[in-house]
Amino acid sequence: MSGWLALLPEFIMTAGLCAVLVADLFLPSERKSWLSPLALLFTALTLVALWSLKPGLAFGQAFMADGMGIYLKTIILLSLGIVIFSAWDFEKVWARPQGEYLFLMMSAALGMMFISSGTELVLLYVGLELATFPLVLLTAYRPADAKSAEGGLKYLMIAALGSAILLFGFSLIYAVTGVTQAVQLAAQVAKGGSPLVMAGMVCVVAGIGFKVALTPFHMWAPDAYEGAPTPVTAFLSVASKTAGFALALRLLAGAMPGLRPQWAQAMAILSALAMCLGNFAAIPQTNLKRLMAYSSIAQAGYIVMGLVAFDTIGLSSLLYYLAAYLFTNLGAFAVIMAVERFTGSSELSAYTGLAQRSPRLALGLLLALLSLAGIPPLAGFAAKFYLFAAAYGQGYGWLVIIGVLNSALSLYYYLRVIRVMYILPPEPNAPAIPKMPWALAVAMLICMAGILVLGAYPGPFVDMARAALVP
Amino acid sequence: MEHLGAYANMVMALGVGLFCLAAGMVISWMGRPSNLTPVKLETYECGEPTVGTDQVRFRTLFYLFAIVFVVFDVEAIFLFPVAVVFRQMGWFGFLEMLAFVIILLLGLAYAWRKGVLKWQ
Repeated sequence: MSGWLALLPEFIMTAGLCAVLVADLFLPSERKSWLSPLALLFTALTLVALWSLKPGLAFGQAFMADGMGIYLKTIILLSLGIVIFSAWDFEKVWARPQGEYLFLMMSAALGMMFISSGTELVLLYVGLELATFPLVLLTAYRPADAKSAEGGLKYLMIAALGSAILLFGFSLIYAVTGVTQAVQLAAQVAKGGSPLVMAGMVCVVAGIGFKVALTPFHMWAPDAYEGAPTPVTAFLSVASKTAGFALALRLLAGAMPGLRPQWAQAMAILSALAMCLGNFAAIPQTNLKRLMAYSSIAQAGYIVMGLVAFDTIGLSSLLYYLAAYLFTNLGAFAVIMAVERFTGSSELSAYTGLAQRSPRLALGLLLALLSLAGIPPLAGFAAKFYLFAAAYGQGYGWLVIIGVLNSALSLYYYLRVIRVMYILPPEPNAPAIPKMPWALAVAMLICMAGILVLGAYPGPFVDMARAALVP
Repeated sequence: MEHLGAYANMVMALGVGLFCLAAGMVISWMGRPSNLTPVKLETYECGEPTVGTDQVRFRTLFYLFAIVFVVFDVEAIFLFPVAVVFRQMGWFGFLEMLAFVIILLLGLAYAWRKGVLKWQ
């Protein structure tokens, strides 16, 4: 029975999403905004349960609430909380039902929590499906908007393809080894890679590539990011990516460490491709959400470097980067949400002269973009520095050179947005930006504080990431 | 190079799979009489005479009803094995199944409340 205790955070989240659904059925329509506090309450309770638990196993050995699982779940839950908080009145701004939105967001987070702790192939797959389908529905959440429908359809098709490839890989691996549990699998794989296991590993690498949007498996990302309602885009870009890397950590680092030379080579190539394509394709974008999509493809390329390096430094800098990425990307999306709320657009032209129309929003986006580009002393710099150092230490000098060049290249399009905000004068008939709603302002402040603190004092957070790796 | 021998197994498995697929189709093609009458070429719709063309749109309500139906279909499938081992599982199993059924009932309540069950 003690095993069930390790599942307590997941139980609370399940109870929370059922509670939101029931409350949605019985609340009169003018009180639907009470659902957000309810969802936040359960997210906070889940976090408390997560942090007060001792590591443990459940479902035999299929579910492991270890340090890494707790760290990853913390990032996922924080991003869920910040997104719900910053889109407090989702129904008013995006004109779609609030209850289902919250329910689907929490379901996706639940699936991601299972991925973070899954140490068994079938559980990982079920978690992946639970995480993906709500996000597909949320991407297509505004069917009247052709872009939303298009993004949802593309995401569905390509996510299904990715799942199928991943599942095929699992079946090949199972056919040879006869086990699905990660520790047993690692022992079987270490005996010698049979070609079928190798083929399975290639499928697994491709499946992970689809999930975290690495080139050449990235095609869904720009359309899904652009079409989805902005809070969903924010959640998709942070939590879904974190879950994808959780999948990579559990499958490649956890279950197939014996094949590290092979998958590290494949991942290094994917990393280089993602960095180059993401940054080059971001340059001509005129829509900020689309630009962020390509930027997130490039960021995934950087993050994979930690997995390629694979030593303690590499994996801990990967975890640290995910924390930095959480605050940086959510900060940027908080500004995009605010601008969309008042101007109804996320095109770059809506940002013209933002520094004069709303200095605080412009400053927020400035910080977030500079952090994404990796400018010291912001979070993105420290995180990128550790990743590059780790990859260099493991003899991937060529990858580091590509990474550094791409970092410089990325500065170009981030600065282009900053130029539009700070140098260009506002258009005379630009819609006014009144005072921000307090919830959005608080969410933005949290993100900004995260960017500054993680950048200025990375030490304790890197230690935290390192401690998370100790089983 | 001796690794290539191991890959040969994979190629063989692929080849045998493709052969079985092709063989089944070829044998049935050779063995079946080809005697096409106009009646045989008609669209088969559960034995009923067909009405109209196949280019019609279905109401999405059919789809929603089907989903609600499948939920309870699957519930029944899961309840059978539970009934078999009900005594061995004791109270723990009972509570667990109760949670399962309640979650499904929640789905029905949701569909009901949102007006899915009304044919409009």
